[in-house]
Amino acid sequence: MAKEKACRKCKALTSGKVCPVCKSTDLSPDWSGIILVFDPAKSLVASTLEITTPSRYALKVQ
Amino acid sequence: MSDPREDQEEDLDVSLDDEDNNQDLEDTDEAQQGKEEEASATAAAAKPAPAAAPTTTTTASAAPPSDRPASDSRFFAIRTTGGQERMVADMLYTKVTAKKIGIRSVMVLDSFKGYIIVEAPDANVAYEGLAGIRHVRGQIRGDLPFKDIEGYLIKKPTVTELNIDDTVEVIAGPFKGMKAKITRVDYEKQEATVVLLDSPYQIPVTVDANYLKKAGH
Repeated sequence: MAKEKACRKCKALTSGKVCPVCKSTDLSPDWSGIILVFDPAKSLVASTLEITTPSRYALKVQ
Repeated sequence: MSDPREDQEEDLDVSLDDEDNNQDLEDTDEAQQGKEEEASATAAAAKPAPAAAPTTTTTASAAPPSDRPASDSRFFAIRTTGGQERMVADMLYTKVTAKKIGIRSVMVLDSFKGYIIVEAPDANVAYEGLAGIRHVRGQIRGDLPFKDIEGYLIKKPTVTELNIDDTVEVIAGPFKGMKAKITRVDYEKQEATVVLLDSPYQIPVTVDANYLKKAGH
């Protein structure tokens, strides 16, 4: 499996060349921690991190 | 001395009185039964009211933490096979998106090896999501308070914690493991100029702020 990259803007993880959430191409291969958000409206984690779209996110992007 | 006959009469009176009393008691028993029936009927009629009362109290108690939208979220630490946390998270992601299980989020933290953290409204929902997934080894009893997890989510840049004259430890780069004293901090570039304490010469070195850790922490 190809190494995933994290968007530097919204921290979403993707295997492609474009961020699936914000459509940015500024991706970083250096990231750590994973957060899977399924229900951003009810999730405390999502509200803390200001995530509004269900997806896979990195916790820290460098 | 009193006459023994009188005593007997008195005894008879008493016995008669007892009979009367018994009758009275029977009457009162009947009356009580009637009352109990009435009471049960009234209790049955009154039952909905106490049932309604707790709902009002729960809504009242749930109202104060309204600043956070999902105050009913609970966090469960799930033990996994070492090194398989991401694998478990990926399988959980596929399962939850396909089956619409009520799990709200899943966290895989590098500083929390061998565990993943599942956010769900209820323990049963978390169990439902994790049932049948490989590499899941168990669960820590109870749930984690959110304030324990919050510290992992919000990471302040290291540079904000650094001040001039602080003693720090270099945790990465060519000077890894050395202790140093900060002489200048560039908050914009996230760099700090330090003087290495272990070195025989006091040479100022500029290093990335993320390579520094405050001594004593």
